[in-house]
Amino acid sequence: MRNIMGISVYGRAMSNWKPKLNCGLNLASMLPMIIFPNNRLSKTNALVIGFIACLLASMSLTVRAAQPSLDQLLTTEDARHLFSRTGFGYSLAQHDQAGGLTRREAIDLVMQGFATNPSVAMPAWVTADAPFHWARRDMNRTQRVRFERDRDQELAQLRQWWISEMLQSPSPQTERLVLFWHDLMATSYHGVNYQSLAMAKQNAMFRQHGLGNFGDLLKALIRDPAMLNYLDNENSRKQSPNENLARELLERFSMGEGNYTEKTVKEAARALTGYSVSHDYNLSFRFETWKHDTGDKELFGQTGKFNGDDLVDLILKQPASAEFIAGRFWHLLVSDSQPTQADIAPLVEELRSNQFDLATLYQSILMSEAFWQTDNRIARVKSPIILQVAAARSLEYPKLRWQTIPVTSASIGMSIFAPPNVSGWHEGTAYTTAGRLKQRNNVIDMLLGLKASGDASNASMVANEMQSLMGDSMMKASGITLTMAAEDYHGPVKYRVELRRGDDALWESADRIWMHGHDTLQFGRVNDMSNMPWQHTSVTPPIEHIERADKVRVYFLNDTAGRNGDRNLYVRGVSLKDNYFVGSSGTQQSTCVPKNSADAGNLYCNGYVDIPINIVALSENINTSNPYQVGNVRVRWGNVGKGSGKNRSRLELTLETVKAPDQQWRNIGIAMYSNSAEHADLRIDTYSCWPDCFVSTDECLWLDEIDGVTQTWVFPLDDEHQCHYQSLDDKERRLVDAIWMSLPEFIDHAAIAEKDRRYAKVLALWKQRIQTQQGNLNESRYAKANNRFVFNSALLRKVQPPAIVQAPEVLITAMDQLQSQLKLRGISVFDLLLPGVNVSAFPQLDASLQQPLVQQLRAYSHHAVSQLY
Amino acid sequence: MNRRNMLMQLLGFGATGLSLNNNNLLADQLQVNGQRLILLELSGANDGLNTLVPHSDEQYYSLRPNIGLPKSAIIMLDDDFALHQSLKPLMQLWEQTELAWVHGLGYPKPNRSHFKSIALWETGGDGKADGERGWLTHDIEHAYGQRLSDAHGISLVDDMAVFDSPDGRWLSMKSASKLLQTDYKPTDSEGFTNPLLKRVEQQSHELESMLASLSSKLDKVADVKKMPATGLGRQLSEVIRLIRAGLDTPVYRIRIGGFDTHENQLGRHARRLSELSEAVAATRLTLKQDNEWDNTLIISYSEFGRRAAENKSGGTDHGTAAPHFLAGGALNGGLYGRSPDLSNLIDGDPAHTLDYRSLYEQVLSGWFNIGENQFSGYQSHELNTLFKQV
Repeated sequence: MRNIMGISVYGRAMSNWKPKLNCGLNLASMLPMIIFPNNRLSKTNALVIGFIACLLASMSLTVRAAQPSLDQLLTTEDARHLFSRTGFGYSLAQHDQAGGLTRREAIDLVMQGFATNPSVAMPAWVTADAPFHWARRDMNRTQRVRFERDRDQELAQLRQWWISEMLQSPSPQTERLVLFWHDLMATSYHGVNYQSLAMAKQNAMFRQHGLGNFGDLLKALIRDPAMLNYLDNENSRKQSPNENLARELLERFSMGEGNYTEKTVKEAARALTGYSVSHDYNLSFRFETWKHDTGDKELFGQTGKFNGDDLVDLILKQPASAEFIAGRFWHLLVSDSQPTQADIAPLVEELRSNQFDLATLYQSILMSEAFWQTDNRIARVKSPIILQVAAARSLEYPKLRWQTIPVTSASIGMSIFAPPNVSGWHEGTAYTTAGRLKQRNNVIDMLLGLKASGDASNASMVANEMQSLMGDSMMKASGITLTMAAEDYHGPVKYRVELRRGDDALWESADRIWMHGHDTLQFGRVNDMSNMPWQHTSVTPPIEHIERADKVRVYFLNDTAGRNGDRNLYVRGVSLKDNYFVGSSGTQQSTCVPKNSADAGNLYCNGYVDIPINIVALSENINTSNPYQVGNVRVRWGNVGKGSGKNRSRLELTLETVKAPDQQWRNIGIAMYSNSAEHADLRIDTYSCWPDCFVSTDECLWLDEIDGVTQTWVFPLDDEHQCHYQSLDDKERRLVDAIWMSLPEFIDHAAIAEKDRRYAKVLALWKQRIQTQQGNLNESRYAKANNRFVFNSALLRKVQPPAIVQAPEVLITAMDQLQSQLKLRGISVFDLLLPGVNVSAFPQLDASLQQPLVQQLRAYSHHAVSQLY
Repeated sequence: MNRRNMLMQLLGFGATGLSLNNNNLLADQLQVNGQRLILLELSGANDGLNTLVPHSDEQYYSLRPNIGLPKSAIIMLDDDFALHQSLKPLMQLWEQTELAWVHGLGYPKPNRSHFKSIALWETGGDGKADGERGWLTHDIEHAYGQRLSDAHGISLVDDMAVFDSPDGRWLSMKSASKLLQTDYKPTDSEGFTNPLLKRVEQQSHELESMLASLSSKLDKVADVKKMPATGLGRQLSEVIRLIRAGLDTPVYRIRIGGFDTHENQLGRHARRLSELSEAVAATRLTLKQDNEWDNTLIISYSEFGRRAAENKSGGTDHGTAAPHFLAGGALNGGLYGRSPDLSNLIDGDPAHTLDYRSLYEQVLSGWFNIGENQFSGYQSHELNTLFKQV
């Protein structure tokens, strides 16, 4: 069957696709082969004849009377419509795959192709421990800028990862769906205090729940760390509930405006109090029950002690919620314009009967007549991401420019992971306003290679330029890898790398051109560091020079700027031998040295940055012999009671990067509690340690009655609560011993580390209390093993090298290669690019078929239909 | 009366006395009076207390023992308030009553995130409910309709962002010359049509005609001279160039950054204010010569003000309410509203004394003549003498 459509160069058909041919289809596909065994017939004609034969066959059979249209053989236009609506454009691989399917089979193919995991792994930092966001409070400006730049870089990588996934995923429908949820349940990196990890987790959450049960998705959403931060629910407590999340949940995520009262918002906010994030538990959801309002709430005419899950369940019982989500999916799949009641009613009914199964909703829309109608085949404006990713997936070679897709997309109004506000991006013709239309044309012309190097008519030159974009992004095993980004202006950045020892240059590279820059002349400056197109490049100096060198110097050689742009080089860091050295640790020599040393490496003028590569300094001090080590101790919170409670005090400390025999923790959070000068206990709960400190459960442990999950282990100095300690195994007990015995040092250390001395008073009180109790402590069970922590700041110093986002595989790297692939299949470029309407509907495009491919592409990019699908 | 109203009268429409509640587009258009507004964003959150200084308030100096501005570093406006000395160039405006300050602007349930709070200021939202569109987008589009030959608004920074809308013409450019450096030639589709395709084609033709108009008008315009060579100076000279070209555009958007002064703010803040005041003063001189100053209004806005008390790094952290200024030839200059009480702070921040949307209301109704606008509910008598009656 696939032979009729041309020989596939891909062989990447979805593995779970097992074509089920019906009688009519078999006949249809075999017929031309039987009639024209020598294959003298052109492939297009074969398809037409096959199609007619199929129609005849299905007319004579009329098996499925209810919806005969679904058993029609998919035309090329149908296939384009289905795949570009559910995914990004229509690729050669999809074209090869779709031949001979009926509409119904093609829908099955789409439905079976959804995935909950991405095909390209997320950057490595996503699965590593979260950075200590709480530490920002105690940082000086340079440290803070460095911390923020690191998060910005992670986000830049996350953007590149997602674009890469969109470009090469075998399941574009998944990516479109995740993008849809990201837009509908909008959260911006710029509104979550640099928590790049939370943004990554949210993306994974949408994959997990995006096509499952809508109620489950909403319940995951009110537990999503990024959303909880973005809509200010983290600190929402019963004394002062914050209404933001409650309001948006009702208005934008589940029901729509006008379907609830202000009173409902207030009551919903109470139900959501305590839905927060545990920083100690690696930035995960935590139901902070002490902040939760356990009282009665009145929601939609019902009264009860409702929590967030109850709220979601009640929302889904309201008629508006099914209409809301059916309408949003309808927009996703059918049209930017409003659906009619007749379009929505059956979907709503089905949603209610199947408890909001989103896969069924999705499938039902694809199976509806409305979906296939000609009117709805040009019915949506391409968002900036779809505009670019669709073109790249259809034509392949534009994938070579993948690194700058996030930032060019931002320049035309869609910065992924940073929607403008909680209502997401303004879709539809808001993307094609006068202010943006010209820029959209520029973006697409550049991506298609119609603008490169000035002379666009020279296709081979374009091809050469694109070709040179390949290969540079691979990290080489030996040698030195640089992580850099650039802004271009009238041409790319020229740079040179040197290895130095003291004042001597040991080795220098040739002058090199950085091919991954963002064109500021066309698209403006990058502005947002989290949109920098970071890439890696390697240099391979002789090994003896690498071993002798004490710094890497990177020169920026061809600075230029004008009123409409600027050429700059950003050197983020150097990796060698498993070590990573950040550019901001270096020193810059140029005519415009940045004011903040954390910005060393941002070369805005000709000059260089020296990055020290002292491997010895990194490793020293790491191997102390003491089995219990801690990187730092920081006070997180503390207070002293007033009035009659003035003897009461609570002090919360976090041990940052903790080592014990065979174990390591990102952090251990401890709470010290005391109600008199003679009393003190140490408390650790389920959310204190990452990873978990203890595995024991015992009936005597304190269990939180509201969430029914959180256990607290209490370790007093006196004889109370013996069984908490007893419930631990030996290793766990030794950890508790070491913490108790090191408390005096912890308190001293925390007092030094705390920059604003907000907790000076409570720390002083605790210092005194522990001193008073020192005798008891030395007599206690905690003293027996004689374990103590030592401080080892080297534990904190290890910097992870930046993640590498692999370039997408590009199967066709030039326009002329595309030409021959099209020829092989007997199709034109419009059979890939147009929405589900035949090219004959557009006379200018049709006429351009007589011209070279580059002219066809130009005709397309200037035609309004290129903006739509 | 301007040309436009004259034309309408000649066509037989009365220029005044139409019902404000009339939703007929043509009727609303008659209210429009050819004024232009320049939105000036002080990005990073300007420290209001060190801009318009309450010099008679002891509390100011006790909250800011190190960065409180001594009498020698300020320019007295009256017995209670003074300007930062870097704003000296603005005194020419003040003396001609062309500069107004509005005290204590803010909104309920303040948000201290740069990103979120600027989004609120730009959309007219507050801590309880976000806005979606640019605060004046709808009212300006409605008042001007499709009648403009150029654009409803032009941004000289990034993107028109929230001010953009498919129902109007909102352009963004680094400079007109850059926008015009490449041709834009949309293809007219023949054959297949549908409403969306038609609409996008229409948008592309609007763009094409805007660019053509821009290009022909700019042909005759000389470069603007005697403007400061700073970031803000360059943006404003571009605005002046467009005004000189006779562009039919009621809204411009410009920005000056660097106001997030957490550390060692004295020098840095002074430099930002110098750049600001020099650019505004030079703009006034040029537009006065061009006879355009009376048609022009500049208003400043920012994410929020800064903490009343200084921090330990010689700077100030994110706060809430702050004063903002208006500059223009048709203003009744002076001080408006009430300054927040510094001995009665909320979480360390001055409580706002006037909702910033009251200022928006006054700009829409008093400046643009759009009496019924989306902020009508925020009308404040404290601002109703802001503009000279024509």
